[in-house]
Order: sequence, then C-alpha cells, then structure tokens
Amino acid sequence: MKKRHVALLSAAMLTVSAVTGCGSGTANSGGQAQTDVPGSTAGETAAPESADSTFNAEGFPIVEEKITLTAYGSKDQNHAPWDEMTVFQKYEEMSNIHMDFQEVPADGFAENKQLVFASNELPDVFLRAGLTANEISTYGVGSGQLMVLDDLLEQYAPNISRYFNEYPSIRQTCVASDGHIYTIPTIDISATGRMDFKQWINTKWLDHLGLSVPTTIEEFKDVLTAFRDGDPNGNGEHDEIPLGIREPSSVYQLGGAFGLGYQMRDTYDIDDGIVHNWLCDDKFKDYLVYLNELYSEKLLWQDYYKNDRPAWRSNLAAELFGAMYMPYSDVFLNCEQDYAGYEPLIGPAGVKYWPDVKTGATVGAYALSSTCSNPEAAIRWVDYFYGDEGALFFMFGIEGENYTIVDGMPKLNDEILNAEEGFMTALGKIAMVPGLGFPSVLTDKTDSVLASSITKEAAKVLEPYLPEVIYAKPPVSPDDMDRVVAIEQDLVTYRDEAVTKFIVGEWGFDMWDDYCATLEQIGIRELEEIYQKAIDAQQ
Amino acid sequence: MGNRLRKTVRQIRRDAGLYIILAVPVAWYLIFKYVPMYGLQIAFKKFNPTLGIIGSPWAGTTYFKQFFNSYYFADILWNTVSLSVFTMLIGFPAPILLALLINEIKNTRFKKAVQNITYMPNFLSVVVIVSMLSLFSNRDYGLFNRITSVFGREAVDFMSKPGYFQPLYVFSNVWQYMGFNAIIYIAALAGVDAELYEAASIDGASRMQKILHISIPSIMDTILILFIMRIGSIMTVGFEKVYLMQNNVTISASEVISTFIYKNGIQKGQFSYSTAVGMFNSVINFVLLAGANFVSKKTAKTSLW
Repeated sequence: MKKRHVALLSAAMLTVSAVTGCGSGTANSGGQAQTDVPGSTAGETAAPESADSTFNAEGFPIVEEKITLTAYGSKDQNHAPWDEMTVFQKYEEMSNIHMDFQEVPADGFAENKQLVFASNELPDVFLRAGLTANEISTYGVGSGQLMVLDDLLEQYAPNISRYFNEYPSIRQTCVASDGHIYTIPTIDISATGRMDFKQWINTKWLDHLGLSVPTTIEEFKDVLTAFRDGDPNGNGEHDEIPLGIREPSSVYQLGGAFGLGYQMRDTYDIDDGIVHNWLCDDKFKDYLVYLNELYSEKLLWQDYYKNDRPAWRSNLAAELFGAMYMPYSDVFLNCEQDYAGYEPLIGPAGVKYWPDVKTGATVGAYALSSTCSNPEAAIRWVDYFYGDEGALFFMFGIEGENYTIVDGMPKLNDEILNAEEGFMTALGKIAMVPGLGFPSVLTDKTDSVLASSITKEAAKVLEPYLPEVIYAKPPVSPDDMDRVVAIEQDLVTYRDEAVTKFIVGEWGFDMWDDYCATLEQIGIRELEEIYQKAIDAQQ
Repeated sequence: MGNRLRKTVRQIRRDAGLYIILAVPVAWYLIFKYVPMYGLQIAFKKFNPTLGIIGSPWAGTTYFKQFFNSYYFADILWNTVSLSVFTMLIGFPAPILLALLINEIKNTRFKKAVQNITYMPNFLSVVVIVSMLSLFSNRDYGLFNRITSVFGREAVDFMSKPGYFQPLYVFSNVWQYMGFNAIIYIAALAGVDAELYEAASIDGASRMQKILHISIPSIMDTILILFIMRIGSIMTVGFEKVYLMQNNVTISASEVISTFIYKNGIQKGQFSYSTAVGMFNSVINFVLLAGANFVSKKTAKTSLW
C-alpha cells in the first residue's frame, strides 16, 4: 500500500512538472507569440537580424567567431555521448560552431520530446529527434514551434537542395500540409535501403537437412517443419526456432505472398490512386490463418508478440532462427555467413511480391526551432553532411584514422569492425550511425557502413519484386490530424490486439466478423477517406 | 475587533516556532498541489504550447466526449475498477490476517524470522517481480506450469492469457506487500493491554475467541482509517507494474486509465486529452472517498473529516 502511495505521488509530481513547465513557457513566449504566427516564414524574418559579419555563406569555417547552438535528440544505446564522438569533435574545429548536445536516451525519449514541446523551452536545433509526420503537423503547421525551412534551404543548403531537385519524391515527402518544409530527412537512395526488412534463411541448416530454398508458402512451411524436427544445428536439443518475426507489428509488412501491400508504410494498398485499408479483407484473413498454423505448430517464434528485443537479439546471435526478417545483418554479424536472402514466396496471390518498400526519405532527422538563435549557421552546419565528402565524413569518420578507401569504396578499420565491445558500439564512438535516423545520405557507396555484402545480396534478390509506385504517408491538415490521431489510437491498439489473438489462437476465426465490425465502428473507412483526400491533394 | 486582532498576534508570536514548522508543509501543498490545479483547465482547451495555458482556445468538452466515445472506454473503466476492487478485496485483509497470525506466535525468534521473511519482497523492484512472473509463467520450464502439471493440467503461458492477468497481478501484489503492510497492524497489536488477554484466559476463552473479541476490536480503528485512505486511491492502479506486465494479447484485460494516459497523452503529446482523462479519474476517486467516509461515519463513528 505504501508503495502505491509513492507511485501516486510520483505520478502527481510528473503532472506537476509538466504543468509548471507550461507555465514558465508561457511567460517566455509571450513576446514572440506575435512574430511566430503559425505558417509565417520565420526564416525570412530572422535572416537579416542574425546574418552578422562573422557568418560565411560558403566554405569553412561557417562562422568566424565561435558560436554555440543547443542540439536536442535521441541517443541510441550504441552511441557514445555525442560531444565525445570523433566526427562532432572534428566538425567543431572545421565549422567553428560549438554544439551543446542535449541527448536523451532512446528509452524515455518519446515522452521527453513531448514535454520539450509542451513546455516550449526549445533547443536551437532538433538533431536525430525522430520528428514524425504527426508531430510536424502539430508543432510545425499547428503551433509554429518549428521553423519553416524553405528559403533557408534554397539559400544556404546546396547539397540538400540538390537531392530535392534530383528526386522530387524526396522533397514531396518533406512538404507539410501547408506546403512548407519543416524538417530535413534522412535520405537513403541505396539499393539496400529501398526496402526495410530483407528475408533471410539459414542455408547451413538447409544443407544439413538436404533441402532446397523454398519458393512457395507450402514449401516454406515444410522447410520450417524440417527445421523444427531435424535438429539442423546438431546439438541434440530442440532449441531451433524455425521462423523469427521480431515484433507483433512486423506482421503487416510481410504479407506479400497474400497480395497485401504496405503503402504509406501502413496497412494500405493504393491501386489507380484509390486508397484501401486491407485490415478487413479476406486475403488478410488467409494470411492470419497461415500464421496461426505456423504458430500453433510451434514453427513461429512463440514469444514473438512480447516485444522483447533483448531476447530477439540473443536468439539471433546464437543462430537459433531458421528463417527470419531483418533490415541489416549488423546484430548477427557473427553468423551472417550462414544466412542468405531468397526470392519472395508465392502464395494465394500467385506472384512474387515484396511490399515492404521505403520512399528514400524519412522525415524528421533535423529541424530548427522557431527560437533558433542562428538559423543560417544551423542549416549550413547540417548541409555539409549531405555532400559526397561530408556524408563520408559523417558516417565513417576521418580518412586514414577511421577508414580507408579500398577499390573506391570506404572501408572501416579492422579495429572497429572486429572490436571486442561489438562493431556497433565501436562505430558509435566515431559517428552517429547506430540506430539510423541521422541527417545524412546513404548511397550505394556509403551504405556499406551498415550493409554488409551479404545484406546487399539479400536486398538484390528482392529488388525486382518491389511495387512500381511508392506512396509515403501524405501530409494531413491539423484539423484532419485530430481525427486521424483519435481514430488511429483506438484502431492501432485494437488491430494489434486482435491480430495477435488470431495468430496465437486466443481467438478463433469465428471472431472475424466481430473484428471487422469493430474496425468499422472505430472508423477505418473515415481514416481511408482522410488519406484519400490527402493523396488526391498531392497529385 | 482590535482586541481580537491583538490577541491573535500575541498567540502567533507565542507559538512562532510551531507556525514556522507548519509553514513548510503548507507551502509544499500550495506549490505542488494547489497551484498546478490551474493547469487543469487545458482539459477544456485545445492546448497550444506557444499560446500557453491561458491563451489556448477553448474546446469545451470535446476531449471528454472523445474519451467516452473511445472504443476502449468501457474496457479501460472496467479494468481499472475491477483491478482495484479485486486488489483491495484480497490485498486489504491479507496483512491483517498475517499480523494476527504473527501475533499468536509465542517463540520470539521464530516470530522475528517470519516477520522478516514476509516483508523482504517489499524491497524488490517491480521490474524484478514482473521478470520473475514471466519466468514462472514460461510454458516449458516455468514454476507455475510445473505445479499445474502435477495435477495433469496442460501447460499455458499465463502471461499471455487475458483471464490470468488480474489474478497474477493481485496475488503477486499480495505476496510482495503483505508482510510490509502487516507491520502497522503488528505494532497496533503490540499496544493491546496484556491484562485483557490474561483476563480472557481466566474466563476460559479459546485462542480464536481472544482474536475475535480482543485483538480485532483493538485494531479496528487502525483498520478503518487505512481502509478509507485506500478507498480514496481506488482508481489509482499502480502504473509501472501494469505497464510492464501487459502485452498485445492481454491488453483487453490490462489497459487501465494510467497506462492509457501514458501511452496516448504523454508519449503522443495529447496533453489536453490526457488531462481530461486524468480529471475524470480524479473525480471518481473523490466521489468514492466521500462515499466511504460517509458510510464509515454512520456505521463506525470513525471518519477522515
């Protein structure tokens, strides 16, 4: 009972700190409320004031007299403290800009970010803060706490502008519902980055059992059964996990064999411009029946729905999975040579199809707050990382010290690749690469920092089967956004609950009609309409 | 009038020390409990951080309606209430029984040992408790399934069955906090006049009769006050443990108001909405507290106010 009071108290304190934070924020922003009217081009008005004589529009240093900017973002568990990273230390010397890093561990970041906005005590820049389309709509278009970057990018960011001009789809991804750009994306134009998950199968186990790579979902199930019963790792124990799916939410992007698309990186098909959410479709039911079979026969990882990343990683590293899905092989480098990619399986849809596609740009890697003290310098600071030379520097560090160029391709030094503490942790001391989400460009040349040659191979076999037209989630106006948030909050919770119950057999498929009726009741069709409207507005 | 004022000043001057001591908790309550209440108005406003709490536009009862119309509203309310009531029905009498039992132990060393062993789990982190539950529930090697298999039951992963969520939560709570919560009752029992027991023994009372007619009536006031205080927080289910224990499969049985606020309000930044939900929670809490207090006042003549 005591303990509960303590919990109650801490909850109360939390509310209090949030609320008092708001109070002081109000006082601070009183003066600027008029100048930062939502939607106004704050960049323009700020430009003449702070473009002091020490600012260089080109070349290094960016400013003659050292300035300090505060940078706020999410720190991956493999990152060293940001001010200790080789890249940032070196870059401070080059640019003459001191970044006062305020990084927050990824674990509590989601709520911390919301409190930063709610308290309106904003940093100068948001660096790797993972701002989502929803947040851009709320805090950019809505409350005007993010700065409009259109003019700044045009004037001071030649490298980013180059990508925007060369790849209109990347620019389009970044445009918010009011037509302005609020954040700079992570750009990934590498072949490997065109899809998220690659599918992997343990070829050593296949060889051991004398099996060939499956091509249909029936063959796939037979192979998984053989993995389960045949003790392919030869240790005499039934510790093999035939199929690994990382999370309950990963299910939706892997239904290609059943003809389920993953447009807007959600449960949507978009054919001839018609937006359709397939959560109630029979083909999705067929997919769930198949997964339910796999689960009940102990072919699918039995703990897949527990969101237990540490368990997932240790199973990966212990080579316990027969087949599984991963974007990169970085967490199972120790056994990656036993795995290989394979072509999409053929299922009821009758064609090979890999729906798990990405648009090449992920919004929210870098943004300026409306109170940024030196917007030009802040934009120039990040733009360098989008140039060829800068991207290499941002991801690999200093040539000669951290990497060398072999056959025209950058290669990290062996002491990083084979570091005792793990490759990713060693890399995290040099650069911000672990965990992605950083402001830079991944190309076929620079993506080797993440993608091993085996990963690139695995991506290559899937590439011919990606959908031709790729849609990103379109920007939605703040008013519609209120509805989207309200509907999706119930829809996503219910969907994940129901789908997991179908798969693990907690619900029988006689519940299917109830499930569909509930989705309708929550508002799945209204959601479809809102996205349809937004997609149409983009054309 | 002037006379009265002078009298008050004199009194304050006389007891200045006491007033200074009083000022600290009063200030604490004002700063941390009353002043923040002005922020509650954002439950009725569309909160915009740049405009601040006062400046944000009014939204009426939009957010309350949104919560009441939410698909999960009924589930969440039911889970919160049932989990609390269940926890209280089992969790409240348990320490009293334990205290009565410990009180009956005559061997001092054995008594101390029992007391220590039962209150130790109180100091374990909730994270540890939930990890233990997870391991015990494992289908292949878990303790619970080893026990049920003796009775020929099929192995199940208890953590992934909605029906087992509440029992697991409640009984692990009892196990963890029973010993610690018993301390206050043991202390109350220690204060009972030994002559009462001697007199009862002379009259030929059995042990059971002594417990029923001496021990329990002596600590009844303590029990009632603690009960009323517990009622006041009936809707406040411990957040951390529920959050750690829940997964997609058990969400229909495990989503409670506090986890709902955390996920939708704090993580997704819907401050107005979550304030509205929190306010709803507090109002129900207050009604329950007032009700329990009223009943207690009428029946047992003990009350908080």
